[in-house]
Amino acid sequence: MALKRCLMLFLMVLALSLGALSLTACGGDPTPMVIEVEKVVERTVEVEKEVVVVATPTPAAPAGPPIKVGVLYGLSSIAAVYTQGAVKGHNLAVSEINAAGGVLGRPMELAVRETHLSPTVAVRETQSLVLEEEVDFLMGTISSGVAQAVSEFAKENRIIFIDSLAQSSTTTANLGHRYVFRSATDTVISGRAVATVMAERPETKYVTIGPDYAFGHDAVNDFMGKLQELKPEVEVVAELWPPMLNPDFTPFITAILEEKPDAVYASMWGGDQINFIKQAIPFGFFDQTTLVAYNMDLDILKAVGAEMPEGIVAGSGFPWYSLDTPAAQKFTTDYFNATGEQPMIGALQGYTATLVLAAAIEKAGTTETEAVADALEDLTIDTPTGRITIRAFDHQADPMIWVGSSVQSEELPFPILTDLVPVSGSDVILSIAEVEARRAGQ
Amino acid sequence: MPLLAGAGLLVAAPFVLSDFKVILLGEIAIFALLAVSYNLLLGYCGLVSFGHAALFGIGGYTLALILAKTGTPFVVALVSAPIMGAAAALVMGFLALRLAQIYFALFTLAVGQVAWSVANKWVSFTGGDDSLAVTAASIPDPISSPGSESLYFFIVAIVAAALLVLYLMVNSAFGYTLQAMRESPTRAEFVGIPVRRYRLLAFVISGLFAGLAGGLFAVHNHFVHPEMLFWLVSAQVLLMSLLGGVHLFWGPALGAGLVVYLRDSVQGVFPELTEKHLGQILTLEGLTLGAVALAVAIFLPLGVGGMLQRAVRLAASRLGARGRASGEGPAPGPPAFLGTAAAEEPRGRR
Amino acid sequence: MLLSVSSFTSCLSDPGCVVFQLLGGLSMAMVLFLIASGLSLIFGVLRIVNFAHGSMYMMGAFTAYWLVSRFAGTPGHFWIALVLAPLVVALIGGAVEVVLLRHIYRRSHFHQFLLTFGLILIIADVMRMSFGGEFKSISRPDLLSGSVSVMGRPFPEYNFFLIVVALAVALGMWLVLQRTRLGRTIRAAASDREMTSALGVNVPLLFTMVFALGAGLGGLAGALDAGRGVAISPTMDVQIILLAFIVVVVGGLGSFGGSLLGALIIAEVTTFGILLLPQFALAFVFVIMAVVLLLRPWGLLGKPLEE
Repeated sequence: MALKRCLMLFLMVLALSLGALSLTACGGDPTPMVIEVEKVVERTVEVEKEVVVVATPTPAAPAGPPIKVGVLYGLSSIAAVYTQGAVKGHNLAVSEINAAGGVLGRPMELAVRETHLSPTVAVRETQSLVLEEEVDFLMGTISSGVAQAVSEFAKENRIIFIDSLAQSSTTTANLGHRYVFRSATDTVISGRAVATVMAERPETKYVTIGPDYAFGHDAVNDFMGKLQELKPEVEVVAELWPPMLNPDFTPFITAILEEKPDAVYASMWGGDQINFIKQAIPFGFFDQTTLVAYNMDLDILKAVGAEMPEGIVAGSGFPWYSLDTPAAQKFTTDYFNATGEQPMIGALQGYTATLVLAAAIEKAGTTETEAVADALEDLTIDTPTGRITIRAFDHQADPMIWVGSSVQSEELPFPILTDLVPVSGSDVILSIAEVEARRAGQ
Repeated sequence: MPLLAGAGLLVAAPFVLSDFKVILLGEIAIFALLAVSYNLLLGYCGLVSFGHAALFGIGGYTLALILAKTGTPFVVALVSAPIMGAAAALVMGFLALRLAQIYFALFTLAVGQVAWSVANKWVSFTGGDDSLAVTAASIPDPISSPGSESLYFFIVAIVAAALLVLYLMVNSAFGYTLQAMRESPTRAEFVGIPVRRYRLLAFVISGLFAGLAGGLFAVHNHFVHPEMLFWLVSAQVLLMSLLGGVHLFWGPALGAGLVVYLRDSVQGVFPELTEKHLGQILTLEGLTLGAVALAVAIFLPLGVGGMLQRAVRLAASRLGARGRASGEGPAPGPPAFLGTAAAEEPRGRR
Repeated sequence: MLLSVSSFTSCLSDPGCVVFQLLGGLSMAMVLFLIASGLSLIFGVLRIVNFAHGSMYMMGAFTAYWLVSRFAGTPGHFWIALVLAPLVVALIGGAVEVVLLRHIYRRSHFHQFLLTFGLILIIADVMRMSFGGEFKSISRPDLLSGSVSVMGRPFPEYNFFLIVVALAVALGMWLVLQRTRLGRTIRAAASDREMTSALGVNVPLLFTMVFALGAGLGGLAGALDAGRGVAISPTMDVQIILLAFIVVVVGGLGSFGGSLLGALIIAEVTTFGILLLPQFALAFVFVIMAVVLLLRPWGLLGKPLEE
């Protein structure tokens, strides 16, 4: 009896998993992604050849004990779209670094852990990485709550933590300390970049909407603060804070439309942003007002797809489809060759963080924490989107942001941002006086 | 005898195991206390609560807030955690205990979620999603470092003392009354036991120890986060309790150990496999814990603890047959409150 | 905070605005109703609180996505998906009942909670393994992609369609429950299980059918919502299940009409709450649930349970 049940249960789980696997095998993503990217790849082949030539002198294979780096991300649920790519970006950087002789002649090695977007799990995994794997450095995190928890751990245990993805400006500005660094943009750079573009436009009557947690609030305040500074006549007629992971935006959409704003600033990300846009379309939302989005990268562009309304203003940290610099094209090509995927923003951020760490260790000439922390301060390196500097005062980097408006692409199977205005991170980053004021207010 | 051996192992553990394993053991101890306190409602009263996470979180936030916002000594903060847990339980229990079974479960779910959203939304007070730090400076020196032996002994000593108090309580007239009420509330009412008052007392005691567990968790982790109050934590404690065996005092503690250990193990096993075969890194924690939950619900109504107990009794009766009579007499059947199928199955096999 | 409460409250004096908001709330209510009625039906007959009901909704959305991609070239692929997805979910639901639930009806309700909780975890991981973590979405059918003017404001045709479908399902269900043999059996089983089996009804088959029907309703809600533009991801289940619980608790566990009433109350309160006091709108629903539980634990239209 029990045996029979056991067998049935087993078969059930097996059937579910097999069914699942077969779905992936035959269904999957219908977009002819591979073919389309090849176009982009073709365009860049020549550039790639040049670069390969530069890198030819074969370096000695790395030797000695590996430099171990712990990488922490929420790899499943809502964050997967950013973090699965980020891990691949980290891996690509590590394989390039090791192929070029490693860091200080030693190989670099990653240990990746899942945080489930939970600060508690993240701290437990961080302890496991530091105590069991004996990693020398930490990278990663998505979700500002997790970033802060890991940052606090880094502070107490004097271990360097490079925040590669999580964006809330609080981590480096208000709560910054000696051991936390961020190689990605923060909400200030991203928010203000969009604000500088919106300040040139006629809209003055705004409604803001953002997910009701630290990131959402930071992203709205950092944008609106800058916009009102540049353009004092801007007024906010309503602020809406839907919960994160909100499936139904209808009541928010109808409430916004009743306000008849000139523009709506939205700081939702991932699924929330997709829900909002797709549900707003049939209300004629995009004929009545302008949507200004915190950012819009491949995750949103692809998921909204052919329905994407034109003219949404948004920032992007890596619009590779329009960047013609050799560095950006080389990264796009290499990443595609290594993974068979187009790089989402996470891929670039994971890649960049790894380069930053490797460069700092080289500069310090040792893996000793204090020396590497010193080396990270004012470190300047070239990334696929240009040169970045980790500011010594608050450890925040200053990558570029492009602000453009959405349009259906003729070449690619998904909409893109066009009329891109590059905004240099160093022009909009928090001033040192502002960071000091924030820290004093803590 | 086994108790002494267990105590010996717990004392030896930090000298043998790595620092990280010591941290995991500390976490197990805290969840063991949480699960045993939960079982006071589940196993002894037959009540399923989804608000236990809220009591746990309230304990944690009490300690963290007192340390962060006032200059109060650590001991006061640590003592306040269980007191606030009990106070919250008094309010929650007073309202919830008027409701029967499923409505009780859903009401505790609703109240717990309200507490969770307060922790999440009242950012200026609780720090919201940014968590609230319990700085090393605010904890007395010997126990301020995670992974240290002194912190481990501190946690284990408090948990052991709390478990001892709970053990004495459930083996007193109070505990027997609770069990009598569980089997038949109407009969208990009839013979003059004030059922609701007894259950409220059990709820408050359960909240007291949940709050203590929350306070310890805050000390152990050096921060608190709203996720401590989320209903899924209650569901996990339910899993721990049923996995270990709710009709045994030690069952939920065993279940807590198994769940924490299992969760830590899958973190290392699946990521490589899934990256290779699925192109994504997945821990498959849900699949693993879910399969355990199904297995317990269907095959192990008495939990792993119940199975072990049966094995021990079986061995004892074999020994007894060879002349050494066991003093315990015939093993009592599994409690009826676990449902009829649960009660019939083991009997049928004997 | 820069809240301009005044301009929103002016909506209440403008009939156009009120009607428009009511309609918006109605489309939200109808999705909630479909999910909640399945949950409530299962509870009414099987006496099981199915925590995994949100997973049925999620599987409905994923199945619709999968079918839409499979039949991408075929005309009418959306309609194929909309019809097939609930059927697939109903089949899975039936299988779950036969393989798993059947063994635990006589167990304590904690084992039942545990089993459905385990299902949540497993189904979410299986979806993640199969479809990955990227957000999926499907497009509205061309036929319904436009909007109609309601009091001078554009309102999506698809939302009208959704409201009509859900009302048709409600009417159909009501007819089945009131007028057919199956419906009478279900109602009899809901009010007295022992009596039903004594009367010679095939109870196991009835239970399988009811669970499959409930799951199918959840799947239909998922497929309809996917068409409305809800992003499809392995976290959809947890997002919806709490709302569904609130609806059935307010309306009354096991009451079909209660699901409809509960869904209307929760959706309209949310909609107008966002207009009037956006900061607290979403806390209202929990407060309503707690108050209903305190004053009328069995819900507005439910019947008290015997212990």
